[in-house]
Amino acid sequence: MPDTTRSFGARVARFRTVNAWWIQIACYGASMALLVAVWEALGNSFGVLFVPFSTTVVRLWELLHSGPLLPALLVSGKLYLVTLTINIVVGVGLGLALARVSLIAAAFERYIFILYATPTIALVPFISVLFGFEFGPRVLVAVLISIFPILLGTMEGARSIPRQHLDVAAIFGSTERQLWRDVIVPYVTPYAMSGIKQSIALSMAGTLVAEFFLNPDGVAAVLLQGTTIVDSGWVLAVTLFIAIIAVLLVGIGELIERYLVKWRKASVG
Amino acid sequence: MTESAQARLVVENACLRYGALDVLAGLNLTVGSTEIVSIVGPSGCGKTTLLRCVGGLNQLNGGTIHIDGQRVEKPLPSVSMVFQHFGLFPWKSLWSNIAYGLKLRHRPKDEIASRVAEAIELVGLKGFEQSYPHQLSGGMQQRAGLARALVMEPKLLLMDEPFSAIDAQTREQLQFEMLRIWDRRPTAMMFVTHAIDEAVLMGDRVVVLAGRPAHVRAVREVNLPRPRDRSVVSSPEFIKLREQVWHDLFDQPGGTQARVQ
Ligand SMILES: Nc1ncnc2c1ncn2[C@@H]1O[C@H](COP(=O)(O)OP(=O)(O)OP(=O)(O)O)[C@@H](O)[C@H]1O
Ligand SMILES: [Mg+2]
Repeated sequence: MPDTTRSFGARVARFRTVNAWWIQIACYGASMALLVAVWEALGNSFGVLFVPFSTTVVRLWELLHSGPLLPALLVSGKLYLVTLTINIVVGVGLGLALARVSLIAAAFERYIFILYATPTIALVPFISVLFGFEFGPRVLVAVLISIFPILLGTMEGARSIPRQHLDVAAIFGSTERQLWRDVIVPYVTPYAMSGIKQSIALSMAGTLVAEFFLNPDGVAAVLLQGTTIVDSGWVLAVTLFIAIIAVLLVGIGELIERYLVKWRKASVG
Repeated sequence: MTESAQARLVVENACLRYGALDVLAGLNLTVGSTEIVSIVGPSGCGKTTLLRCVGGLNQLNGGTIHIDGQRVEKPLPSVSMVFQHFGLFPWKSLWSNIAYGLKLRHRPKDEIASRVAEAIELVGLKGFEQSYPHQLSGGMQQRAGLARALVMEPKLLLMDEPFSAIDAQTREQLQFEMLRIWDRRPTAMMFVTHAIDEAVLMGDRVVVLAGRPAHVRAVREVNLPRPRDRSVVSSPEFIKLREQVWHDLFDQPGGTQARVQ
């Protein structure tokens, strides 16, 4: 007869198991090798409409070395950084305010979910009519696409502070300011960080969408240029470039998260 | 009964409602300045609620609570509390958890350092200062919870089932350590527990509550000698008291039948 308790325990244990770093890296490498192999094979059979990985890498090198990619990166990078900064400042600030001040929540919470449910693309025509096509409206579009994980994550965290933590603070005579410093901020940090990590990737999508739809500029314009001249090597090279940057940025986000919530390391396995 | 001149805590006619539910209705209680009062009562009868009111975490709807003559309307600095589930901050090291109360009060750095070191020594956690709570066993976490309360040198210590979430062996160890700590620096204490043995072992008096609303059903003086050690547990006096409290808890009022659940 199968021992169901044990197999469930084993499954839980497996869920919590953290493999050695070199095993993880090996798995990552293997999946990447597989992806490249498939890409190469597909590319070799599709020809010019879908060039192989090797050709893409060469095209990327050309675009970086003498092409428009680096100057475009500066333009997009600025939009990206401003977007991400606003996401973090406004997302965390508004998330805390919504969670801790019930009147603010009563006034605004519905709108946030309405905005979250609305595809931002649908708002682009109105935004361009109201604010034009310059940097400001671009930031607005990018932020609307990518702020929600931080906003909702922070809100969720600040609303779930266990009463016991608040009791301890009260019994030991904490002032409101001390409560924020010792309890609210540290408790909410992992929630906010998890939202920030998502937003790091989503802000890239937001940046590109804003550049696409509001008078093309930056990396999105370079991408569009490749599409217009039906140069699949060009388009794939830019896409690969975006992917590499995304992986790097999310990696940095993970490092920061690990540093900030090191007290939770073991408990989240 | 303790003379009221010596009383540290005086609860008079305490009333508290949660919506339509009367939790406390006219409850009276005093605790002397170095007295340990154990409080037992059926689950849900309002023990935690009473303790929270004394700690200033909940407000009464009627009646008063005074500590050293001062009316309790918010948490007072002379009162500390030990929580059933420890209540350590998982993001703070053990040292920082214990130093928490002193830091809130802006004590000088060297004073904090020496008092925290002393408290850590007292509860036997030396060497674990830099550990985070998740790296400690339940018993060690509650030792830390105890140290965090004791380091404040409270005049009144509130304990809400402090050892109930700890394994039986460690619990016994902690009971006697708690008695030893109290012997070194006697202070007033309200000790809520579900364990009758523990109530008799720790207390100078055992107050038996019944709900609802919570009222005092019986008070038993515990005249066991202090300092108390393991030999107390097998003394006839201890066993007699334990039986009395058991009957106070489980006998139906007016009846002679014991109700065993
Ligand atoms: N925040 C609250 N809101 C509404 N009712 C509450 C609240 N806290 C406690 N109660 C009710 O008050 C009564 C007393 O609760 P309390 O926690 O004080 O009991 P207790 O004696 O400590 O129980 P236990 O021994 O199980 O810890 C219970 O019936 C409980 O349901
Ligand atoms: Mg309770």
